This record gives sequence, structure tokens and C-alpha cells, in this order.
Amino acid sequence: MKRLFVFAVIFTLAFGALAAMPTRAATTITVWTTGSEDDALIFKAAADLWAAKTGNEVKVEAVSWNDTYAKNLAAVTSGQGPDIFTGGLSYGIDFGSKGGLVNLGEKFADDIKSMREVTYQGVWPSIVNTAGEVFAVPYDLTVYLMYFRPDLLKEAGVEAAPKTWEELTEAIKMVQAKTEGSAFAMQWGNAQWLYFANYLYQAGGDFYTPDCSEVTINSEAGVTALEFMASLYQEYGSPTDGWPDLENGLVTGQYPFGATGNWLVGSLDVGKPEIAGKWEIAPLPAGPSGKSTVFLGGRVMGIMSFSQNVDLAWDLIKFLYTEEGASAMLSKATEKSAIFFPPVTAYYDLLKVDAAKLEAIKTQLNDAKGPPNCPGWEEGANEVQRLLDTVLLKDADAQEALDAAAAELERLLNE
Amino acid sequence: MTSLTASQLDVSSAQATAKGGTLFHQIWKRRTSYFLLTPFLVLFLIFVVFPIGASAYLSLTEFKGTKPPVYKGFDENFGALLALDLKELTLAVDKTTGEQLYRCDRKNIPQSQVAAAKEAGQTCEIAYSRPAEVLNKGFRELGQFNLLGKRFTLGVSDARFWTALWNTLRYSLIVVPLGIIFGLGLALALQRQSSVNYVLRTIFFLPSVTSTIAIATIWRYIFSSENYGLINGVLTQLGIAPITFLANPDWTMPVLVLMALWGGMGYNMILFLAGLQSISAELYEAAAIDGASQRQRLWQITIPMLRPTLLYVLVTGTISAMQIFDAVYVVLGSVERIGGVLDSGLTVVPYLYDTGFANFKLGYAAAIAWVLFMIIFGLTVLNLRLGRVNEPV
Amino acid sequence: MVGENALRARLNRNLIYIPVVALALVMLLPYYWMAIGAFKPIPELSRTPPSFFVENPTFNNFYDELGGKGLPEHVEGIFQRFQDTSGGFARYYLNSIFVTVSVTIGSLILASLAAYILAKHRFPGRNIFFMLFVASMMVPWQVTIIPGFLMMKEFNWINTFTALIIPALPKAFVVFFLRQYMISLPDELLDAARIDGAGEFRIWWRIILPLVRPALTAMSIFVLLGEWNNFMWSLIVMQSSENRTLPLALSLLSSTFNGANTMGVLMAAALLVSLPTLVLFLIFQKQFIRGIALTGIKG
Repeated sequence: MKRLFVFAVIFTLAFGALAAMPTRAATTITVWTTGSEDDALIFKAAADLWAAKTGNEVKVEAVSWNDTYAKNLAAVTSGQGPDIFTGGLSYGIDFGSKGGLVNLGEKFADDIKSMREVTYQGVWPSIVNTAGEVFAVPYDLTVYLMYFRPDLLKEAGVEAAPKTWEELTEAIKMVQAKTEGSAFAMQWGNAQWLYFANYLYQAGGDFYTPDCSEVTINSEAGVTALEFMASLYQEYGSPTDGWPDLENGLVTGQYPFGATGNWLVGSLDVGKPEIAGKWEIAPLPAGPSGKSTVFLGGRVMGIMSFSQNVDLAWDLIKFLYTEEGASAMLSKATEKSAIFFPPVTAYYDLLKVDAAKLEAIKTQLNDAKGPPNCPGWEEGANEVQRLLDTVLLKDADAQEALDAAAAELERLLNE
Repeated sequence: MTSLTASQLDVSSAQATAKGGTLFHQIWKRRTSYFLLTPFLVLFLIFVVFPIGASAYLSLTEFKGTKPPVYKGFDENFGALLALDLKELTLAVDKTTGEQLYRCDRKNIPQSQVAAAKEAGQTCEIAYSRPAEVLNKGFRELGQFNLLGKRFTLGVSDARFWTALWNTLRYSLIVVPLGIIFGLGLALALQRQSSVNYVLRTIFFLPSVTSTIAIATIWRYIFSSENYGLINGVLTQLGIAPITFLANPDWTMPVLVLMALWGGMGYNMILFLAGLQSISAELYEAAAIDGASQRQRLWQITIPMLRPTLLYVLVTGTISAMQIFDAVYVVLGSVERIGGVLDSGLTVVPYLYDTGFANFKLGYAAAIAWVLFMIIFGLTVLNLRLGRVNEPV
Repeated sequence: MVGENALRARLNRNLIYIPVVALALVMLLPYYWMAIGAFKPIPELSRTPPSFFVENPTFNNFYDELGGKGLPEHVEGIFQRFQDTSGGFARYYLNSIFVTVSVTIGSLILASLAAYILAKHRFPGRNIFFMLFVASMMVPWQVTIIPGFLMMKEFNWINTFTALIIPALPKAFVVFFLRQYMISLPDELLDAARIDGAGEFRIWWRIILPLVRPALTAMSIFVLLGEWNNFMWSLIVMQSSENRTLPLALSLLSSTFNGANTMGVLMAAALLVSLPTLVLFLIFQKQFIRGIALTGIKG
């Protein structure tokens, strides 16, 4: 016991001394990337190139999606944290309004203008706030895609990937007749507002009017969308778990089709070699409005207002927009069997994905819409989520739930 | 002069002066005591007492992190947190015809169509006006109840808080008694000294010395409704449809209770074993001579003699159950739903974390912490009272 | 006749073992699931239905030379993760041990000194201090996190180990418990030492501490387990990847990993995180149990 104590003291002192030693050089840019460690390594691939060119250092750290909002907000509030952050599309507006971010649109007006020209247009409505300010620029893009096994669908009598909601439910019935317990799996944002956004857009609805003056989530389209989504869980057996194992389901046939983000295009063959070449992708089925608009996700990056190296940080961000930077990230992504989808349209073709699949992604990207940019959305999302759950997982009335959600969003909008 | 100040300063000074010298003199004489107490005391004042006081102040302010706190008074946070609104619901009538409405399978229909709906197999009951129409602005319905033939709705301004509070109380009310029953049962079953009992005790105690986050991680993979989830893997093999433990609001509480019992009963067992050891064997021998049955011995000797241990387990168990966080955060939490689906596993501390560190309403979060404190304080006093009432006469 | 009764009594006594042993197996199930998960290769992890035995045990979940190269059925093991941090997972191990050991030693030294003074010294205000300590035990620590966080910010301690160690040092419960224990020590012993010319500091270190060793052990276990599990406070004050403690690292993995392929790595990590306290427990089992039991009796 005594020896253990002595050892513990020595260890503690030694480690304490070690930890107290300065570990950072003077011009280090710290970056927090939201997502997994692999995501951080992808950013680092380009950052290291930039660092070597400019003689600076970059430190890239991963923050998980679960903790990222809280950690970044804590950084904004306490004035201590990274120089650059990457995070959800709405974070720029949110942290910007709290005074935590450099107003890029103002400080680097020319750069922003040229960035807007070369990047995917659909992302900007979610990034620019109602006053026209820009606090963050796109880092990467994610869209929903439908993944399916043509062979399994054919066995069940489904000839082609479903193109409409009706075709989808029809196809589910057919595969279920063939294999009991099989279903359509919604992976990313399952049973959450994120996935609900797909149906809402496809039904021709939206969360707010484009100018954010009114809440429209409880429109007729909203009700149609929510009722359809609920029916998938309640009548058509879609799994409700937080993150259904679509990959495995595609292998076993439990989920002969399903939808999730475009990252699976990069990782499915590696993760599940037994179905390599046996799966395809397609846009999501269109709703009553005839559109198959999907939710556009992805990340933005911005510079913390307390950063001591705003210009250097901006230089690094600009480097990510060069072909050199983008290719470094793309090849790192390939190495990690992930997909990094750059916001600059000219670099799409650098993606190491076969032509047909790339075309499918591009098609879906042309019909995608991001999260709302209206005030109070971030704060209200939690309550909206709960109300959606009452319909999706319980049996509450869709109209009533959406009315309540609209009331809450209106209250926050006017606050 | 000094003696005057001293007598105003401290009640114990009267005693001190009586024994000799002024308080100042007393203190100076005992300077070593103060000196040696200082290291702990200073840290204690800075990191325990001051934050408690500061938190009390913050709970009365509006404070969103980026700007300094603004003093607003009691109503600002506590008012918003605790406000209730009780309203009577009127019967719902059709706006155009004035006909009484009935609610059949989630839809309101006029009285004239009820018969047809019932024929179609729907269940109908009289419909009331929507709570949102009668409740004050910003209030949300917590529940409805009938009283004296009238229908009432109870609205609150922060429904998530009340949900969290209700969940926490419900959780504690189940976990604490069950933990005591299982802990005591195990202690009684394993109290004899034998190598088998020793091994079994060790097994039951293991969770107490295992990292809570590691355990929570494992549970997530046990309860997952996907194929790799242990329980559902087995169920599927037996031909039973998988249960979505983590995506079904009805399962959230049982899952939390199960995890807590699994993790806590061994700890209670050890405490009870220690208590059992302190009961003198003579008591049992005397009872045996009097011909007391095993059950009588349990209820008339063991349980009364274990009263201090029972009380300790009850008090500390309640306090820690009321503060549950890790299990909720890791097993149920996700980006949009910190407390699991439909807030079914949302308890007070995760809600506090969410308000304070995800929405940065720091003043509001401090108010939540104080409400939690008051409730725990109340429960502790209640528990201690209960312990006294049961005192053997 | 007597023999038959005794036999029945023994039978009854042994019948109780059926549910108890069954329950014990349930207790072990998560450990078993973790242990086999940590050593299963990927094809076995994603098998439907799940297998209860490891057919081809592997260390790949800890370190896989072929991992991270885009090869099927190979992912990076736990020691190849956290590439943004020098030392990776091993570093988090050291961080956790450093914080836990510092807090345990520091808080016990401070608390035992305070407990000695409160138990054996008589001075004005003694009862007030004692009441203050006891009263503070009633306050849930969550009450202090908001101001605590703001203080860390003011002190510039955000993202430093200081923020994990210093505020964790004053533990009123430990003072309370040790005081209860010390109060029963005979005063004559101390008086004798004082006559021999020993200072108060020396009395505390040389006489009191050795005498209350069981209580100290009990409290060090209590503090050690609490600190090893410390999650919420670390989540709030620690920012950079090299300062993560094990619970933070595990929680990061847990929230970014989904599906069967990475389950093995997660189980390997959970195994590594829970191992130190488990091993410590198995070595010092008697002291652990006695310590916990003491808190119940004296507390």
C-alpha cells in the first residue's frame, strides 16, 4: 500500500511537470471539426499542406455531433477555444447572432462574393441570415440518397427503384410479402425533424416562409408529410431506432432499400464487401408536389471572434477552396473510405466515385434544401422534435401536433 | 472595545469569555488550529460556498452567457419554471352548426355522425375544447383530469421541466425501494461466510467499481434493436419481433431502472452485510429459545436492528437517484433528444445541462439547480422523519 | 426426525441459491458481452443472430495493422484512433490516472488535516465550521456547475487539468467521515505526544493518520471511484483533444460509432476504461468492501 502511494506521488508529480510544459508554438491555428476523428483527419490533410506552405502550424481536433453545439457555444461564451470551427449549417447564424463569430461577409466581402459564385448555390439560403450577413462558409455538403438492392427488389417483384411515395409504399408491401419483417430504413435523422424535412419539402411545404415572416410547418403539406412519415413507421414497419443498421440490412435483405446521407457511397463497399457492386443509389421518391426535394446537410466553417489569427485562419479557409486543398481532402477521404463532398461545384468530378453514382448524387443535389435560417429555429427544434415524436411514435393527431409546433416557433420568432 | 465587538460577533464567545480572555485572545491562542484548518477552508469557501451563493444570485438573473447577468428577481426564472395554470375545459361545439362534437379515433366529428363512426368500430367520447385555447399564452398542457363532473386542464409554462421532474421522481420512487429490497435480499442470502458467497458477493459488487460510461456504452449495445443488439438478437432467434427499447417511450423508464438496479444493488448489499454483522448473535439465540419463526426473527430483530443502515441507504440512494445524468446522456441521448424519445427519459440534471450548456440560459439553469436542491432537501428531511417514525417503541 | 428437519432446512437454504446464482449470471452478462465483443473479428461482430462465443479471437480491435487502409473487414483498433493527439488513447489513460491520483491524494491530505482539527482541537467557531461542512453536503453539486464554469473562465483554467483537480479538492463528506472516525481516538495519546514536544502537524502526520488508516482507505476508494467516473464536469471544462480523460474519449467514440463494424473497437475501449478500477478492486478487495461498509456505519 505504501509503495503504491509513493509510486502514485512520483507519477503524479512527473506527469504534472510534463503537462505544465508549454506544448504550443506561437502561430498555431486550432480547428474544431464536428464529426468523427476521420472527419478531422480529412480537414487535417489540407491543413497540413497549407501549414507547410505558410510555415504555420494547424491543430485539428474532433468534436462529436452530440457535444459540438454545447462545446462551441461554451467557447463562444468563454472566449476560449479554437480559431476555426466546423459545424452544422445553422451554427453560423446562431453563433454569429450571439456575437461569437467574425462577420466574414463584412470583413472579407470580396472573397465571400467570389466564393458564392463557385460554390453550390442551394446551400447559401441556410447560411445567410435574414439581415444578409455571412458568419460562416460551406465546408462540405451532404444530401439524402436512396440506397437499394435491385436484385432483392426484383425478387419481390419490384422492377425499379420507387419514384413516388405511392410506389414506395407499394414496393414495401411487395418486399414484405416476400420476406417478413423487411422494411424501408431511414437512417440519418431517423424519426427526427431532419428526416421529416424530406417529406415536408416533397409535399411542397416548408418550415417558414422564405422571408421568415411566418411559420408554415402546420400547413396542409406539413400534415400530409407527417401523416405519411408516421404511416411508414406504424403501417409499413420502418425501424424507429436512432440509427438503423442500413448497411447490414442491405446485406441481409432486412432493409432491401433505405435512405441516408451520401457518405455511404464511399464506405459501403469497404464495410460490406459481400454486396460490393450489388447496390445502387437513386433520388428519394417524390411526394404529392411531384418534387423529390431532400434535406441538405453538411457543415459550415467560421472564425471565432476571439481568435488572435483571423487573417491567417481565413487564409487557411480559402486554401480549402483551392483545387490543391480540395484534392488533398478528397484523397484522404478515399483513404478513409469516407465521402467528402466539396462545396465547390468544379471539384465534384474529383470525387473517386463511379460516374453513374456521381450523376445520381448531382441530380439529388440539384433538388435539395437546407435547414431554416430563421431566428429561434435552433432553440425551438427540440420542442418541434418532441411534438413530431408524439405523432411518429405515439398516435397523436398530426394537425394538432404541428399547430403546437407552429405556436412554439412563432413565439420564438417574435421573441 | 474588543470585548464588545467580540460579544456581538459570536454566540460561542460568551462561553469563551467565561473561560478566560476575550474572543480575540481565544482565537490568538488557538491560531495553530485556524492555521491548519486554513488550506481546506479556503478551497472550500472558494469552490463550494461561493459557487452556491453565486448560483443563488444567478438564479434571479437573466443571463445568457455572452452578456453580463441582469438582475430580474424571483419571477424571471423561478416564475417561468414553476408557473401553473389550471383552467376548466368547455365542451367543444361545431363552429358553424353549434352541434356538440365527439372525438372518435383522433378526429372530432359532430354528434350526428357518431352513430355511424361507432358502427365502423371507432371508440367515441365527448370532445372538449383545445387546451391551447383556454390556457394562458406560452403555457402548455401537462394533463387533463375530471373533477366534480368538470374537465380541467393543467398547463405549465415549462413543460419540459415538469416532465423532467416527474420522470426523476418516478425513477427515484421505483429505483430506491427496489434497490433496498434487492440489496437486503442479497445480503440475507449471502451473509454466511463461505467461499461461494464470497465469489457471489464479488460479482454483485463489480458494477460499483466499473466505469459508468463504459457500462452505459455496453448497455447501448445490449438494448439496440438492431441485429447486433444482444437482447434483440436473442429475441429474433426465438422468433419474437425485436423490441425497440431505446426508441419506444414506454421502454425508456424500465431500461433506466434496470440499469440502475444492476449497478446499485451490490453496493446496497455490502452496506446491509455490514449492518447485519453488527447485530449481536445473542439476540437471535434468545429469539430461537423463545421459538420465534424465521419470518418473525426477520421482522422483529433484523429489520429493526438494521434501521440505521436502511435509513442511510434510503437517504443517500434518493439523493443519487435524483441526480441521474450519465446513463441518460450516453444511453438515451442524441443530438435532438437529450432525454430519449418524447423526453421519456429526460430527468432534471440532463435538462439542467441542456438548458445551461446547450442553450446557455445560465440563469435559468441555476434556478433549475436550486429547485432540484430544494426537492432533494425536502425528500431527505422526509426520509429522516420516516426513519424516526419507525423507531421501535 | 431431527436429522430430517436439518436436512430440509439445509435444502431450503440452498434453494435460495437458484435465484441468486441466476441473478449473478445476469450481473455478469454485460461484462461477458463486452469481453467477447472486444475480441471478436468484424465478420463475427456483424453476424445475425449474434454469436455468444468467439470463434477466432483477435486483437484487431485494439490494434489492427491493416486497419484504416480501406480494406474490408479491417478498421483501426482503439490504439490507432485519436490520431490528432500524440499518444492517442494511451494518453487519455495517463490523463485520467493523473487527475484521479492527484485529486485522491490532495483531497485526502486536506480533508484529514481539517478533520483532525475539527475532531481534536477546541477553538471558537469550531461548531460553526462543522455545521457549514455538513450543510454543504446537502447541496447537490450540480448547483455549483454554472458559477463553477464561469469561475474557471475567469481564472483562465478552461481546458487545463487545474480545472479538474483544484475545485475537486475540498470534499466536505470526507472531512465529516474522518472527523467521526477520529473523534473516538483517545486524547491521552495526543497529549503524550505534545508533552514529548511534537508539533500539531507532526501529530497529525505521525499519530493520527496511521491510526485512521482504514477510514483513509475507505475514503480514498470513495474519491478515486468518483473521480475516475467524472464525466459531466470534464465535459464542460475540457476542450482540446490532448486533455481528454477516458470518460470523454469513450463518450466521443460511443457517439460517433454506429453499427456492428466498430462495435468491437468500442467494446475494447470500454474494457480498457473499466479495467483499472476492476483490477484495483480485485487486488484490494477486502479494503474496498470494508471501506464501503464503513461509510454506511459511520456516515
